[in-house]
Amino acid sequence: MGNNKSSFLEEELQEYEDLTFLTRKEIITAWSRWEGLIGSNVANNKATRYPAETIEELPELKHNPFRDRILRVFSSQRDHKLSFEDFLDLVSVMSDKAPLQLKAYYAFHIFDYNEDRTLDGSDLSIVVDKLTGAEELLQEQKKKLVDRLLEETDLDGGGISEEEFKHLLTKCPDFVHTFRFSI
Amino acid sequence: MASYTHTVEVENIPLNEISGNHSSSSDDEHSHVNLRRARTDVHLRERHNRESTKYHSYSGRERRVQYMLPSQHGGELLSSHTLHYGSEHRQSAWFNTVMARRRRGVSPNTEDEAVEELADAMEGDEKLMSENVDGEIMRREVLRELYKPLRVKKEIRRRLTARRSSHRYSSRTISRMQYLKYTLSMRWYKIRQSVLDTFHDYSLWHKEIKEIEGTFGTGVGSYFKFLRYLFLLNLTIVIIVCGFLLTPQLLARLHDDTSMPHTTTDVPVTTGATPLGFSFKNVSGKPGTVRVVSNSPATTSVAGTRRPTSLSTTTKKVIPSIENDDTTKVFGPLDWLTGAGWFESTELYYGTYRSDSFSLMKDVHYNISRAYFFVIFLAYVIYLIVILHRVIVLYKNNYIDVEHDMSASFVKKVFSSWDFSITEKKAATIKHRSIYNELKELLQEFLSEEQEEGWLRQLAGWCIKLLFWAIVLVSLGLLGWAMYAMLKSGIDKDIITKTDSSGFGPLVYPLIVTCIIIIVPWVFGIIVKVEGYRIPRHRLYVTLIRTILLELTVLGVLVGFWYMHAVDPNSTTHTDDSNTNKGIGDFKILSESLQEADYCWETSLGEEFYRLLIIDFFVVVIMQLATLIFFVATQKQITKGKIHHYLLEFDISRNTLHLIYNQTLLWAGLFFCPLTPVIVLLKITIMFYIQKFSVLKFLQPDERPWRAAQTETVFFALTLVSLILSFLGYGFIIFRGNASSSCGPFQGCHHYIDCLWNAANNNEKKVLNIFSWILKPGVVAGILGILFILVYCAKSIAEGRAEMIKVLRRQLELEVRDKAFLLQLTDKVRRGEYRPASPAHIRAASPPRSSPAAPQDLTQRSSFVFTDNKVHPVHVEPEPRHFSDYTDAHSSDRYSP
Repeated sequence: MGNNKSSFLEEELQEYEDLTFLTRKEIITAWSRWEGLIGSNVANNKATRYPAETIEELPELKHNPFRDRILRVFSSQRDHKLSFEDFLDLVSVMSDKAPLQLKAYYAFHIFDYNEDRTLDGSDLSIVVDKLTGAEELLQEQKKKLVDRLLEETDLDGGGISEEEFKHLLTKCPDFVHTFRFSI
Repeated sequence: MASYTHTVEVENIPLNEISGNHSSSSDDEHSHVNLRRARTDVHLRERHNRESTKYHSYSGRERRVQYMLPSQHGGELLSSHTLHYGSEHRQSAWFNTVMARRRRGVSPNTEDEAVEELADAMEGDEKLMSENVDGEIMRREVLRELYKPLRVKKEIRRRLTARRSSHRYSSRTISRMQYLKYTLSMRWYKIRQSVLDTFHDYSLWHKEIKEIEGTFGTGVGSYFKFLRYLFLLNLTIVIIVCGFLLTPQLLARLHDDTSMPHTTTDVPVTTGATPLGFSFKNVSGKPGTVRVVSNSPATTSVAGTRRPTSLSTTTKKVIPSIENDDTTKVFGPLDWLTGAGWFESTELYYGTYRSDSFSLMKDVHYNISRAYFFVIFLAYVIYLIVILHRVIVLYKNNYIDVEHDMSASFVKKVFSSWDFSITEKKAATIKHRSIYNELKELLQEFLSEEQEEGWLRQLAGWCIKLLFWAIVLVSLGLLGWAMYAMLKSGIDKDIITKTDSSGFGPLVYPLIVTCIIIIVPWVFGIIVKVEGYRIPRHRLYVTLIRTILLELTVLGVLVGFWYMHAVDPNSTTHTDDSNTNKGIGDFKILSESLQEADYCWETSLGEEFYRLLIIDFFVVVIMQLATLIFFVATQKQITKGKIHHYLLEFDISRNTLHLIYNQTLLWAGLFFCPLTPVIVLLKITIMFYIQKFSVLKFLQPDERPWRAAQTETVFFALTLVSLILSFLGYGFIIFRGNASSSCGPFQGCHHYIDCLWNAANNNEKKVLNIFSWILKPGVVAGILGILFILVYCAKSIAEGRAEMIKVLRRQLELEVRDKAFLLQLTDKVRRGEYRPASPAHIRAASPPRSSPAAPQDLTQRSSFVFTDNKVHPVHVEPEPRHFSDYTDAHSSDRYSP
């Protein structure tokens, strides 16, 4: 770890520490993971952006059915590329210390496939598809599921809104246990 | 009448004020009178009738309009800090500033604008910008929790710092003192943070647990985290026990040795030195040199000279073997397993501890018997507080706060089912399959919900469950009786055959117990499947409760047996005989001196616990080995049946229960064998690595879904139950139990507590009185009662809140319908289907402050009145209008009377 520390300026490290939920060590680990993804000699600039396909190789993302969405949501310029700082954002949100509301905000946008700021029937059916993976539910089963989902939660019609989603997850203690990984 | 006015009241604004101006239609009045009532009814009817289609779903155009509403933009900016649920409900000033801008319809277009806006707003927030530590911390938190990419946060932070420093420069009002205070408290904050971070970074087994979670998901991870939790907890206790009990005791021994050297026993020390020192080192984890000396017969003979009549049985066993110069008898290889023989003379057991005080320095006395009492008591109290705290926190988070809002159980299953920590393909595939199964199960549940079961069937179901419970309880009772009988016959056999207690004999009982503890839960698992609990979670809970009952039965019988054995005078003489006869023939003098001394039942019980712990460990290791061999043997087979799967599956609940069983053993045996925490600690450490190895190398993850949060609570609750029972048992023994009169720290007293009584001076007596008062049954019942009342109160509050949630929910739905209605209306107006009323009319119909023209008023619900001036074609008689009209255009006729 010793030589990795030199890739950061002291102020830089301090800044990252202040702005994320990560500890100093975790930031340095994140950097070495990042270097592992894109090759260590290429980048020393934290703002250089790399295509999402490179970052997808991270084991934590590789098998995640929502990886394309995750990378899209965390790409700060919506250009299908990520910089180290975006990556740090991702790691910070996924860390244990990030509050539920923050996690819920990002989870909402990850699940919002058509990006219309509501989770509606079409979003949910994609989510269910992704969750079950290779073994797909029958069309009618899926429809029943999605209908039921919306009926249970959707108060104002037209899908689950962000606030509703956040409220929902505050009532769901399992969410913080699953929406996380440690670097 | 050409125009028709429909006034809708959202909040309680006096109706007359508005409708008084145009008292034209009578049905208008009608719709006002029962407005609230009618809404609810309509709403409920509707929901019932049109099950899945939403009554207020928007069409495409309205939807677009919907996004223009200010509320749709609010969420984007909310940082979680402002929404903290619980104590902090007020939103901070900067946030309100931004929201006010949004309401005015101002929203930033580019990122720079957004940064500028946020920075400005934060700048204006006095509390946030205050020059003290609170402000500093708050700034940090706010920025951290902002829903913006890191780049934006960085920019905002930079601006804030720049402005702050220029601000500070311009107004040099802070005094030197204040500055010093600020720096100091800031430094303190930083130090605290970094200590916390260090604990976080270097938490025990961090890497291992991460690896396991990656391959197996959080379910298995939770088992390992529980293991780590117990490890840390036990470690604390080990430190306390070693520091305040073991060390003084050893020092006392050492002290006696050096002050009264005995020449006669010098030789055996040297012969016995290496094996003894070495072996003991493994048990206690401390350097062996002290023990070697302490273990020498010198001590025993010292004890003998001081207290010639009270030589304990343990002394007897050591002396003969040493004088025979047969070191293997001093420490037989089997002693490892049985915990008898040589171990009996070590600090492992109750019997060896001294009853007197010693002093290393002048006038400083350390009373071991008191230390013994207080250390053990303290250990129990620490365990109790820590675990109770944990249970309360978990219960609050996972049950009270959650339970009453069950409406969304299904959504939870979807949104929190994927485990983001998975890093392996195999685990991902299994997770997919498990989610698939769970969703299918849920669908089936819906189906069965729809077709209600007949009461006869339900009754039959209940009968079956009751029957099974009865069977289980009766068989547990029988099992307990059988154990008792076995223990008794074991003792009797000892007397008849006069076998040496250090042989394999004593191992039979713990072996059987361990087998029972491992096999019977499997049987329970099979039984519960037959019983037909529909919900898998109930199945798990029932199995858990039964398993815990089983463990308590087994341990209860064990402790109860030895206790009765000690109390019952007949049996004591029996054991006396057995003990004296067990000795090797030529120690008649010693045995005679032992005649009056009775058997040290605490040590025997401690040995039992030792054996249970050790045997359990070996059985687990052997089972793991067997599984490994099985795995290797069947690896090449292509067809892998169900049994294969079952054997190679990591069952989280069974393994966690096993941990709880271990912990229960610790608590039950703590008083009789004060070093159990050390043993359990070592065991847990070894178990961690064994389990890790087997999990990562050849076991399969469990395919059943594992709901970590609630199940964890149940496990902790079970742990707490077993702890409380052990604690009560301990209290009972302390106050009512008969102490062995010839061994241990409480020798010479009838009850344990008497010793403390005798030794204490007035001041301490007061403390003791308080102790005994606390432990009185009435007081204990009172405390429990208060706890129950508190829990009840918390629950009722939660229920009240649940009611409130229901009411608010309904309210929200109504408001949403209002919104849908308004959107439709504005859309219609735009398309020209509605003609707005003349300006004069609007002025008359509504007070100016609530004119719908200003967009910011739309969100201020309290002053929102909408006037619908619809121009109907002249030739059509206006239909009576009702609230239900504004759901949507096509269905309006369906709900109007």
